Parts: sequence; C-alpha cells; structure tokens
Amino acid sequence: MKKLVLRLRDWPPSAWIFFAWLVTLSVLPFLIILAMSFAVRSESGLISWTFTLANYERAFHLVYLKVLAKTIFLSLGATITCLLVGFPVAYYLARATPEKRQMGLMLLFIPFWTNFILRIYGIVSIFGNHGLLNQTIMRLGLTDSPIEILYTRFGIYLGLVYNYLPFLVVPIFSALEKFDLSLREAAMDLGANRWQTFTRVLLPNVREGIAIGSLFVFIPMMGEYVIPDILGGAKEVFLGRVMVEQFFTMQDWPFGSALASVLSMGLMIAVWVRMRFEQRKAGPTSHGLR
Amino acid sequence: MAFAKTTNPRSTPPESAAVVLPNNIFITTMFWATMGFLYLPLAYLVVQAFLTDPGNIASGFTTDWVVALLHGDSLWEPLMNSLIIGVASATIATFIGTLGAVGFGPFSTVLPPSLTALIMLPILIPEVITGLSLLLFFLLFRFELGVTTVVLAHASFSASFVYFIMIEQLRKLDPNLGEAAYDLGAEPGQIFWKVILPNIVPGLIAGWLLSFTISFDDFLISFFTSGAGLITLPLKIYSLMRIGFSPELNAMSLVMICLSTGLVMVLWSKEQSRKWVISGS
Amino acid sequence: MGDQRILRVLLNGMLAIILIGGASFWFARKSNDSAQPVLRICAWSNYLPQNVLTQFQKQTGIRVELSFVSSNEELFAKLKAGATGFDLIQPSDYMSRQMIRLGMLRELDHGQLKNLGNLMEDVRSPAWDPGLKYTVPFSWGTTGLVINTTKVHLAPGEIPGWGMLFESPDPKRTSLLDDMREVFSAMLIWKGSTPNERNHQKLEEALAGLRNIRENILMFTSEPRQYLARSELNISHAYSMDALQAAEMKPEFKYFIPREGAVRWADNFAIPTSAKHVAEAYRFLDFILDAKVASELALKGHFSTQNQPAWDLLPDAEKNNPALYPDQATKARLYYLEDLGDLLVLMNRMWAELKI
Repeated sequence: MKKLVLRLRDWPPSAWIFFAWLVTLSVLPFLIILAMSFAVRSESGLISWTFTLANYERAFHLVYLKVLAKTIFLSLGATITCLLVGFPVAYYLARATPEKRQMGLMLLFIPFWTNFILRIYGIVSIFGNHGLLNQTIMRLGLTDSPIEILYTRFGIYLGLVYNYLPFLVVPIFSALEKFDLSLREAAMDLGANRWQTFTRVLLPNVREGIAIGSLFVFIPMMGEYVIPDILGGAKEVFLGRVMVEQFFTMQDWPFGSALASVLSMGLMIAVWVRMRFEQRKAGPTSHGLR
Repeated sequence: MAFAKTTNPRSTPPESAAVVLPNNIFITTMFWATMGFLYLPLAYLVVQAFLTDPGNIASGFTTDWVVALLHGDSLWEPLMNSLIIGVASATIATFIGTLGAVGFGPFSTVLPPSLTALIMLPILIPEVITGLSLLLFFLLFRFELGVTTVVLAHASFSASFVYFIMIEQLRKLDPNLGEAAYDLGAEPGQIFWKVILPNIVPGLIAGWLLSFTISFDDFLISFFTSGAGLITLPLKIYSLMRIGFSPELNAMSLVMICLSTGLVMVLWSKEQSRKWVISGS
Repeated sequence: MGDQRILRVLLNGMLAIILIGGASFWFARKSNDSAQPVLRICAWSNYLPQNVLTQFQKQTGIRVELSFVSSNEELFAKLKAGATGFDLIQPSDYMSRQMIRLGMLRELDHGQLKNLGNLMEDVRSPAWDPGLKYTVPFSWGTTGLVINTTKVHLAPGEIPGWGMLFESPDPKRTSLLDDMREVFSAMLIWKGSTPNERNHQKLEEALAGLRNIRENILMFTSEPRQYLARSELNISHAYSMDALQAAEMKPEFKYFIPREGAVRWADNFAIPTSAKHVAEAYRFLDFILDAKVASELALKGHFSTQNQPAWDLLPDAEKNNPALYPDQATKARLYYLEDLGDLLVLMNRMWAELKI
C-alpha cells in the first residue's frame, strides 16, 4: 500500500464537499456561539455586540464550577458503572459463536432503536414509586412503603447506564474480538491464575477499546439534559440544563453561550489530547480511531 | 464504529478452546441479567398497552387502547413528520458521509488528528450544544424553522456516523478491484457505479438505517430546531408524558417497539443471509 | 452481475420513494393551506378543547391548527428565533410586558373586536398593557398548593399555608415547581416578604430556607399531575389551572391559595407581528370574548375568567369557589411577578446553587 502524504491540493472534490458540510453545519454554528459569548445581553434579552469578558467571569464563578464538577462526577460514575456492567456483556459476546454473537448484538441494540423518550417512560413505569417493581414488592408484603429509586441520584445513574450501555459495549467487544484468546490459554498454561490472566494479559490489550468506549459514553453524558430532569426529579442539574435555562428562561444568550463554550472547549481538548496520545502510541499507521 | 462485525478467523476460538475455557457463570449471568434489565421497561410498556388500568398490573386485559390509537388522529401527524424527516435526513447524511469516506478514504491512514477530530465533532459534542448552536445559526441566517431545519440538523451529525461506517466498509474493499476494472478498460465513472458502489451497499444500508434511527429517535435537537407548529413523534410523546395518564401513549409504545424490533430483525436477517450467500458460494 | 442490478434498483427505489414522499407531503401541506382558511394558534396545553375549535370552524369556516409550548420562555425563544408560523399566541402577563417592549406584538384594532367590552373593569387597563393596545386578557389564576385530601388530613374549612409544603409532615410526597421565580416567590411569601423582593439579604434567607428543604422534597416538577395521579405526590406546588383540572378527574385533589399569599398570573392572547392570518386571528379573538364561549371555556378549563358577562353565566358553585374567585382579602395577598432586571442574575445563580 503506497504511503500517501495528505496535501490540501490532493483532496478530491468529494472530500471538499464533506469538509464544507462539516464546517457549515458544525463549526460555523459553534463559532457563532463562541462569538456570542463575548457579547452583552442588552435590555430584555436582545444582544448587543459589544465585546466583553464579563460572561466568562460569571461562568467561572464558584457556583457554575460546582455544577460542572457535579456533571463530571456523575458522568464519571455512570461511565464506570457502564464499564462494570458492559465488560462482561462484551466478553460474553466476544466468546460466543458467530450466530450467537449477531443475535446478541441485535438484542443489545433493539432497545436503543426504540424511542428515547419511551425508554424513559418505561423506566419510570418500572422503577417509579408506583411502578412495577414497587407494586410487586408491596403486594408481596415485603415492605409497607415504596422504595425510592427514582428522583434521586441513583435514578440519574439508572437512566444514564440504561441509555448508554450499548455504546460502551461495542468498542470493548471489538477490542475483545481482536484479542487472540490463545494468549490467555498460553498464560494459564504458564501458571498464571484467572485473575492474573485477566489483569495482566487481557486488560492491557483491550485498553484501547475501553478508552474509546468510555470517551464515547462520558462525553455525551456530560451534555445530558432530559435524564437528570425526569429521572432525577430535577433536583440535581447538569451543566446542559443550566445552559439551556440561560437561553430560554433567563434570555441571557451571551452568558449561555459562554457556558456552552466552556463545556465544549473542555471536551474538545480532552478528545484532542486523547487522539494525539493514541496516534503517538500506535504509530503513523493508525487512523487515530482504533 | 462498526455496526456489526464480520467474523475474524483469528479471534474465533477454535472448537477445542470453547470446550477448554467455557464462559463462567458470572459472565453468563451478567449478560442475561443485563439483557433483562434492558428489556424489562420495554416489555412492561408493551404489557401496559393492554392493561385496563396501566398503573395497576392486576387490572384486566383490554384492547381498547390500541383500538383508540388506531382510530384517533393525534399521533399520526407527528409520526408522519418524524418519518419524513427521518427519511430525508438519513438520505442526505448517507450521501454526504459516503462522499467524505470516498474522498478521505485513501488518505485515512495519514489523516491529521485535528481533521479526524473535526469529523468526530458532530458525534461527540453533546446534543444540547449542537441543538443550541444550530438554533442560533438558523436564527442568524434567517432560516425559517421547520422541516428543513430539522432535517439539516439531523443530517449534520448523522453524516459523520455514516462516514465512519463507510470508511470501515471501504477498507474491507479489495483495493485491486478498481485497478482491475481500470485495466480492463472501464472509465472512472463506470468504475464507481458498477464496481465500487455495489460492493459498498451493505455499508450504505447500515449507515442509512443508523441515520434514520438517530433522526427518528431524536428529541433534544428536534426540540431546539423545530420552531412553530412542527411536532415530531418524540416531542409529542414527551408532551403527552408530562400530562400523565395517557393509555394511547402505551399503545403507541407497543406499535413503535414492534416497529423497531421488526426493523432490526430485518436488518439482522439481511446480514445473515448475505453471509450465508457469500460463504456458500 | 445480477446483484449489481438489484442493488442499483434498490438505490434508485429509495431515491424515488424519498422524492415522491417529500413532494407529496409538500404539496399536501401547500394545498391544505390554500384550500381552506386556517389559523395557527400557539397556546398552553390545556386551554382550548377540541369542541370549541370545532364550533369556531362551524361558525366561521376557519380551521384551527393548535400547537403548544410549555413555557413563556419557550414561546419567546421560538418567536425570537424567527418562527413565523403563529398567528395567535398566549403569553402570560410578564411575557406580554416583555414582548410589547420589544415590539413583537401587533397593535390591536379594537374596532374589530366588538366583544372587547365584555372584559371586567379591573382588567381594562392592566399593568402590563395599559389600554389593551396589544393583548386581550383571557384568564387568570394563581400558583398555590394542590393536596391529596385522602392522604393529608385537613380540618374542614382549613386553608393551609406554605408550611404544608415547607414543613410538611410527609416531605417525601411533596414537590416544588421547576420554576425559579415561582419557587423563590413561595419561599419569600412564607418568610413574610413578597415575590418582587429586591433586598439581597432577604433573598439569601430565602435561598437558605430552600436549601434546607431541598433534600426532603421528592422532586422539582412543573407537571405534577402525572405524579399526583399515581399517588407519588400528595402535596404539590402547582398552578391553579393544572390543579383544578386534576381535581376534575380525581376529586380528592383540592387546590388551595395558601394563607400567606401567592403569585397571581394572567394569560392573554396576542397577535405576533409575524402573523400571517390576521383577519382570522381577530375573528377568533372575538369568538372567545363572547360571553357564552368564554364561560364554557372557563368552566371546562378550570381557570378564572376575565370576562364579565361570562362570569355572570357561571353556576353559583363556580362563582363561589375560593380557589378560582377568592374574596377581596385574599386577593390583596396576590402578587403579579414584576421584572426584577439585574437582580435576576443573582437569583439565577442562587437557583443553580440550589440545585447543586
């Protein structure tokens, strides 16, 4: 395979079209937000385009940093939970026969392909105070009053894990699939026990998949809006909710933009760092994705 | 992100290994427990569609709600809107994403990380920010909010999904195919339409279906970009949910769950039969 | 070679379906529009029942397309974002004030509204729109408490106060509205102040009070009805209209204006400057100003009407309902929300802090 060096003039028209599309619909809108974050909210919600850093000043106020920290913390917790639950699932799929594997993947994705809001609704009808779970428990006489599962932090975790699990399983599964299981056999033949094999042989090789999967899950979680609202009882907010409130309720579009920029910048830096790290590790032949 | 992995001979455990190292109980239990967890809410929604009183599992069986849904008209317009938007945005996304994969594909090994990051941007950025930024974008350029804006919004990030699927698909394509055709006298146009395109159809279909699903399912982005008078199905469901008791909603869930399941099974069986055809011939 | 053709047919087929589907939808939409006069209203979700719209259509031949928003801010944002699909909107009092200030509403030609004289005296020149140049008041209500009386014991004739919510015997069954102004107003009133308090110290105290109870309540929600119906909530901070509509379905839910006072709001109709079907809008406005129509709407929708002859037509039970038409003494303790200007920045920060 010839090694190609990418120069701008080498780009075929199809590449240009795609690039233009990305710039117009993804970069440009973001730049608008960025620009707006330096503007001022004039009387009653309109924007006056005078340059100011006041919005960022406000954004770095302790309160909003706490909200950001809370968002990161909860997303991290949910991601880790997804890992703990998702890894065995991915492992099972990787070990299964090809037919079972396809079946398993299909099963995994069907819930994902039903409507998001319906899934939320479904969770409420099972785990709510008068949902199936509590109804059953109370009917069986195990307890008098319902167990509070939803409208708590746990409810948020529940919703997040439920929604994002498939996204985590697939990259881990991909990595596991590529892993040569005879290595495991070899290790055990050489005297390593199960746990050692797991931590020293299996895990390091699937680290990539885990990392990718975690990223694909952690970042969208940070922007979650509906789940903390409905399943968390709106008692704890994610940064996304505060952001949207600025646009709709407070009509302070510049400040909202500042919050959005802060969040995005942070995420983008994290992603970019991750990719550079990966590329450097894997060498010049990697696409940067796997 | 491959949609469905085809098997890699190296990683399929040889028959003997399957016997030597069986899946332990823990793994199997976790798998099925997780599946149970994922399906329980949906299964219950389906059951609720047939309950006389959806809030009470002990109440009787009835088909009233399903009938009411089929005769009522409040959910059909949102459904139609969602379908049209889904089809339109999926098609556009597939087209653009494929173009991107075809364009950048040969260079995929040397793409600078910033460019890859750019392509991944629409996927990674949280939906709230995408939705808000597109709303501002449309506002600034005085686009009237409606079907067009929602379609564009959905396609904007679906295209990147398609891109990655198609890159994967192109990678599997035998690079000599194009050259062989060229040597045999085909022109670039013919090469594309008659040699390359048919071989990437599975990726196209997967990409299209993924984009359609994302669009059909989408809530947040539609919420921001739909403007006046355009209700998509998820938005309608959301507003119904907030009012509370709506047995038709449960009936609708039943319909939609059947639809999704059916869709996935069709896709799965297509994939299956294709493999059988290939392995058999 | 055979499957190439099949695949190509597939692709072409897909393209064809889209084009045909899209075109037909577009044509259907267009033809629908020109065939019959239409009116696009954006209202709150529980105001205009279908039978009234049908009645309007029978009377005037104008077909109504109804869409909803869930908050004034959403309405504002959509209009600001250039949504031109609305001919008639339903902004609340403070939003009306804001929209008037920003020139978003059409000036009304009173000549086209012969029923305008039906409005009550005290609303002919409200604070948000003196002289009714831009809005037509339609309804008003309060924000108070809805209580499940089978689960919470109240002495007959007892009017609960905000303490029911803030010092509840069963906090895990309580909820607050997910609205910054409303929540702060409730706490401020309970602490002896008013919703339009400007003193920073008092606001801090309100925040402290809210933080104390925050852990105990079940949730913040602006849609408590679904939870009340499932008995997940027994005491909710709610808008009078929502509460009374829930009460219609389940009479054990009763709405109360708390002793200490409450927020009062008004919903008005207005024609945005971007409206396309203005003549139709006027006809609708005149239609709902009609005494009989207004009366029926108020009765069915459980809100307080601003229409005098409509009120006269109401049954006595309704007229004497303290939840809808409180006496003078209670009325004196009702407050419209005012624009707090820069103070809102501080309040917003407190609101975020409350939810950390």
